[in-house]
Amino acid sequence: MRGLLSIARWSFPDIKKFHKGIIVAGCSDENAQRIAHSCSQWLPHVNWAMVKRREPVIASFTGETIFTFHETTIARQFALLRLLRKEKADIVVLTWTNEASFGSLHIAGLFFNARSFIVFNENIDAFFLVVKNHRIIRHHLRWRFAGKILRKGKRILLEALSWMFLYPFGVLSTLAGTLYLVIRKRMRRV
Amino acid sequence: MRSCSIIILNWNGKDLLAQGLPSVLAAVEFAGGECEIIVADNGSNDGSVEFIRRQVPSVRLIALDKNYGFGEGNNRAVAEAKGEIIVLLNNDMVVEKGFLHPLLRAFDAEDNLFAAGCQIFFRDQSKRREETGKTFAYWDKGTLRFLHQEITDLDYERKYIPITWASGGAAAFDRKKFLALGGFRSLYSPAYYEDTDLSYRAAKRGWKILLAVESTVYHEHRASANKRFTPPELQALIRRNQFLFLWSNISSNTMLLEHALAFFPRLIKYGMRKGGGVEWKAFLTALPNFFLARSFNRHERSSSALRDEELLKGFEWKRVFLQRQQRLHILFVCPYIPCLGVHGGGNRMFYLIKGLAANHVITVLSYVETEAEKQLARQLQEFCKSVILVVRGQSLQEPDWFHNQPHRPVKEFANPEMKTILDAEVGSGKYDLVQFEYLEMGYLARTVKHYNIPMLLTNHEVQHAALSRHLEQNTFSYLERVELRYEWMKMLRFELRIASLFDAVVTFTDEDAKALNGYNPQLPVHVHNLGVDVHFFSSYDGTVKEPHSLVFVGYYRHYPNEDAMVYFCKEILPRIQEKMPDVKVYIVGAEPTQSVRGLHNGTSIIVTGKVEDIRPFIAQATVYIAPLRLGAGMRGKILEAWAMKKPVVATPVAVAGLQVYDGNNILIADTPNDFASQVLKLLGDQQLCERLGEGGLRTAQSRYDWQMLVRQHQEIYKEMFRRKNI
Repeated sequence: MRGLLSIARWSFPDIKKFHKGIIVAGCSDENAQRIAHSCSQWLPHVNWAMVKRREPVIASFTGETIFTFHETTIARQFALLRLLRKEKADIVVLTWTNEASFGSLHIAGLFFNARSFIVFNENIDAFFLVVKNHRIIRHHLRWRFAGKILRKGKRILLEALSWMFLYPFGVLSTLAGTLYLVIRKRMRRV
Repeated sequence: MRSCSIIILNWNGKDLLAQGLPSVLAAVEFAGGECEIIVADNGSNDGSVEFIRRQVPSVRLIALDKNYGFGEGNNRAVAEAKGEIIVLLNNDMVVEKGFLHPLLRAFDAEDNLFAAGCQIFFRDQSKRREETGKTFAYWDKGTLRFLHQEITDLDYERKYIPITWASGGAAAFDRKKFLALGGFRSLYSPAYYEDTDLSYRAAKRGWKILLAVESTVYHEHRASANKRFTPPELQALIRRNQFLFLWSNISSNTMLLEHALAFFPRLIKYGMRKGGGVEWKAFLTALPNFFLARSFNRHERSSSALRDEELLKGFEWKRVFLQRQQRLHILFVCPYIPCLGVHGGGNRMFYLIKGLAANHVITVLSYVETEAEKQLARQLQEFCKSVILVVRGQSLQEPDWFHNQPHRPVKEFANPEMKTILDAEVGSGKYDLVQFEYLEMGYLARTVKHYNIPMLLTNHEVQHAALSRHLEQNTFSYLERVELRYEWMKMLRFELRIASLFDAVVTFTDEDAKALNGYNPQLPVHVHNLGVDVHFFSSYDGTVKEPHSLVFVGYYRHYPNEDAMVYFCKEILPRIQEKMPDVKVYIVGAEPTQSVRGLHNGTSIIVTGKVEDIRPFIAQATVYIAPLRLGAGMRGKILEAWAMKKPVVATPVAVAGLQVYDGNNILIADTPNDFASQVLKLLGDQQLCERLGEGGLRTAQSRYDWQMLVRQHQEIYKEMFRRKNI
């Protein structure tokens, strides 16, 4: 089973069969360094690649580095996501640390075509994302969102509503505003 | 020196008078001249009157029959005073011996002066200094804010600074003007805001109000008021009088409409909080006097020379003083720490700040990306008054509900901590102007726009122009093209909107200036060149140590630099290597990206990464290359090469804004073939290299030396002040 379906597995995957791994570094460089080090220690037989948001390079990480979200356009990000899905990694490492604003990288990794997912937190504790670990996953999420779930949930809901209802007005206003500026410039030239 | 009357209003303050009066007597004796001391007693029953008569008979006593309150009590005393200048003191003030001279001197030195206030300290030095005497009121979304600002070293240097109101408990007033205004209004009885009201009415007539920084008094703070009112009652009284002040003084219809629209939501919002009953009580007790307050306003309109907008929208009142000041207190707001050796923008900011610091007082407020970067501030601390650093972090801070703002400025640089610090710094009144570096920081100007302080934006690179070029130069899929075009629209509107907030916008090239003025000719855009420290670069030994070597220096997180190197190594270098296989390229600079690092092969292409000093690398090479295709703004890298007498081959984009003469101080090439042939020409012609190097150095010395550029920058400040009628 690959991708999100692999989460539905009850048992732990056989890590001896892993050859290819991707670390989705949705965290600070310091944490990415620690997690990458831990991964290479724990699974030395795996060829690791890293997806990062931006520079700089993790000095100790010798695998390939892919800057997915360094791209400026969403179209290119999706194009790279499609390419990364073709990689068919055996394991994808998700970094759910306590750093805000890497939201898209926190979940982007879930869309890779991996056989299994493993989550690291800022204490470099790790667990497989499988049904068997449902207690650990629940505990982690509860700890992660302690006291914040209402606030974050409200924010996410507002963002979703704004995309549905306000974004079209934003587009119209941008188009109209630009048209006005361009026409005014042309008329001035005339 | 003019004659003066010191009036101390008293109500049941025998002990306070016993402490304060001796200091007043000593001050009058020290000052000499014609000065009477009057104690106006507001119907005390604690033996104050007998105390004055027996203990200090030299003091003139006006014993009123009852407590008329602060306003009326003082009005009656002023009516009976003999001096041209009246100094009003609270009974809980202890004054310094020399407090009188600075006040009276102000009236001799300034035309049309209505009042001169004293600098106020608390007697208990351990208390936080809530009052300073440096008062400031401003209009903020339908209401008025009143505050006391910090006194700075520059204020002591200037001695007299404009303020919004002179405190009725520690200030000198021109008696004639005081009486012409009708004195304090009984509307505010029993106390608070009569002095603010009086000063505001005076200011509207065009009379000045100053703080005499050297005149010092010590205040017990609400010593009498606390005897009569409980804290919640005091709060309600103050808030009530703020309403009455607004209703009786604001004539502007726009401001009144804004007040009306904001009023009830604010009342409900504050009223629902804990202790919010005070807000409602204040409003309900002020309401019966609404029509009386408006009638006062109608009365004053005929004598008003200035509008409310001019008086209350920020630092407009400073205008009288700034035109005389040679030494300015400037706040620089930067997205990256201004320091040498990281990137061209940082170098430019550093040299400009260093040059300005010779004549002005500079404070730098800057983002840093990590805690470790804070050590770079040491370079600045040698000549800046202070450096305030905020770790930017990676957070997406600002919501964009309509999703029509460009990503980078709004999401990555709008940190709430930075906004709070910026608001506090500008609101403190310490600065004469604020300079924002880069468009990303220009966005933060919205936070402090209401202070109306002179603001300048340095737009290092006009981003919509850079985006437009990016679209033209590169191939994209259809979806990407649509998305980038939409991003360009967002950026264009954003950039023009932000630029319109400023009193001056500086760009580095005429092209960038045209890119802005083309859409809005009213924008006050100034073209100001980048500079180079010619002495620093030219003093290095420029002997070529590696023949047939090329060098490029850049900061590779800036995409045009990354693109330049990838383009050069893929398109141009193979053409050079056909004729000259042993040519070597040094790619020098901080944070080489993955694609740049991928170019390194150890033989013909060397990627060095960040180096401590770029001069050895520029010096050892034969030719400096600048094959830029993207971006906007001026390139400091070419100036550095010129300062080191290196011949330069560059694309037209790379030389934008520079004084270039093709064949004289530079070789320009547009296509890969042209570029390769120009480089080969230089590698094979030592004389041509020397001639171009000399030409480049002459150009750098005559047009781009920092000393000259700093002087030009100060002219921009003068032009800015002229535009603001300062």
